[in-house]
Amino acid sequence: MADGHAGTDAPSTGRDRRTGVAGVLDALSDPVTERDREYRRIAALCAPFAALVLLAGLYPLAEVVRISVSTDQYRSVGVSLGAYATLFGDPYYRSVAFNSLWLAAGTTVVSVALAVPIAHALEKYDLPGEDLLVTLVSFPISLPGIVAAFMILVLFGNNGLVTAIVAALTGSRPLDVAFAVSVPGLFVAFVYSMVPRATLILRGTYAEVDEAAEEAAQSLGATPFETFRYVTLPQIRPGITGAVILTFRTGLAIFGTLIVIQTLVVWTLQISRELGNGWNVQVAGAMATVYFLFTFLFTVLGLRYTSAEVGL
Amino acid sequence: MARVTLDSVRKTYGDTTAMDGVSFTVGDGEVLGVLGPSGCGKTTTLRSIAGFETPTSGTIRFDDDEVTHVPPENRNVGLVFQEYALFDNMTVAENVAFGPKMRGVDKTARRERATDLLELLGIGGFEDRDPTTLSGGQQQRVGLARALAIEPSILLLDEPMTGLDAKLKTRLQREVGDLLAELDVTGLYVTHDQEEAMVMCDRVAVVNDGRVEQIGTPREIYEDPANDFVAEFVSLDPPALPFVEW
Repeated sequence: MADGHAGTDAPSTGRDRRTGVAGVLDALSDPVTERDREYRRIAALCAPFAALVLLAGLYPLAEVVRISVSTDQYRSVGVSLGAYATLFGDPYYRSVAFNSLWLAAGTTVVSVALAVPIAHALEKYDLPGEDLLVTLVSFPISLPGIVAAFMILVLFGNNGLVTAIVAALTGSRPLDVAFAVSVPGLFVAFVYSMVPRATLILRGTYAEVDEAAEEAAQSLGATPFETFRYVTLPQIRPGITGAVILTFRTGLAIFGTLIVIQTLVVWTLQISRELGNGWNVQVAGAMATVYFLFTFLFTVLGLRYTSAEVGL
Repeated sequence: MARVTLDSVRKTYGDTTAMDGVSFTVGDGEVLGVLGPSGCGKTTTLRSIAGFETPTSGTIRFDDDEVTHVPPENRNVGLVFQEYALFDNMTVAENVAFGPKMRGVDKTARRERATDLLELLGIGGFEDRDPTTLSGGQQQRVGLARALAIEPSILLLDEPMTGLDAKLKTRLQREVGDLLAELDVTGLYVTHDQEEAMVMCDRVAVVNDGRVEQIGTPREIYEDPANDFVAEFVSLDPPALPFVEW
């Protein structure tokens, strides 16, 4: 006997139904089978989000695209690709894009590299005070980027704690040791915000690792490192891919940190400057459109290589 | 293969005692069944021999070498798991060849060894298959081949038949039992299944609450149980036991 789901992809049975979209609409308005009623429940559950996507997602996005090709600064009229020509033709914007990409990519690599051992330790071992450790590791997720930057200043700024300690230990001047307001400082601030996100994804993946397979490898003579390399790593690879997708997107999206540490002009900071300096709304719109398309395509491509829950 | 000796092994977790002065010897080439109900300490016993648990006190020796504090990767122990624990990212042959690879055996030799073992276990021709596409019984044979590929000092089998259907279980019991006898493997067979222990093992240790209640041949255990617990735990329908004549 077929189960309740087999062969019932199309709604209906029991009476004549139309097929395809019309059939689904038919099932929603007048459900007959349990599958029809299931469609109806799904539709009801998703309706609020669908409305939100439409109103708060697709409409503003369409408007941003419209603004980016407008010929007028204050009204959406006409069609001009001038803003895009500026973006792709002006070396300044290319350098901004390059800055964004290398900063996001570099901090992603470092963040994921740090998150793997953290997730490994948290998931594989019974650590004393584990709840506190998890809280500490995940804490930066709840911090705005601007606060993360402030913390970096407190630690590595001219009067920072770490700066003072290093200066005292090396006999250097604090000013020579401080690096908060520099590209390395910005890098550290990004990593600070991104490590918890990568850890979150990786911990989920680690929870599904087959520990018996790891023990089998060890009993067969694999050292802990070889066990990680040959058995654990292949199992957490989807999580690593997911963490790369999530943290890279985060790296591209960070803005608050850049308000405090403005040592590198990246895409988000430049969008702010376009709007702040002379309301250059077409270029800002074009930058937002390019940003959206890039991250969307990056995510779609990335998701082909992972089953981790990072979504779009 | 080796003689394995546990001497007064005790393992505690906080206030919980998992092994309470466990002592026994598995003779060279002997298969000892460790039989007991869930939570009695039989898996802790197996994990202590494998090196995944360090006894709170007592010693474990392989022949005359004390291995109580030797890490698992240096013990030369073959492990067969209930849930197979195969490496899903490797082919069947790569699974079997993994142990020899970790021991520096060259590629051709380890491939040959894998092929021979798979042939021996009746799954020749499956070398390049993804292990997840195999049936439960076939996966368990791969697990056994993988454990045997390192020519272990002792083969530890942790409820390897649990989860298999009754018909397959009966067939595997016979086949694996014959194979272990043929290879003269020193084995520790952990199970909660009385019949399985009686059929598969040369001797059986009945464990309860972290203590060994009785060790003896299946016939001794069945015919002369040391106490009420053993008597009750091994009470089987006689037709299930190979040594009972009707």
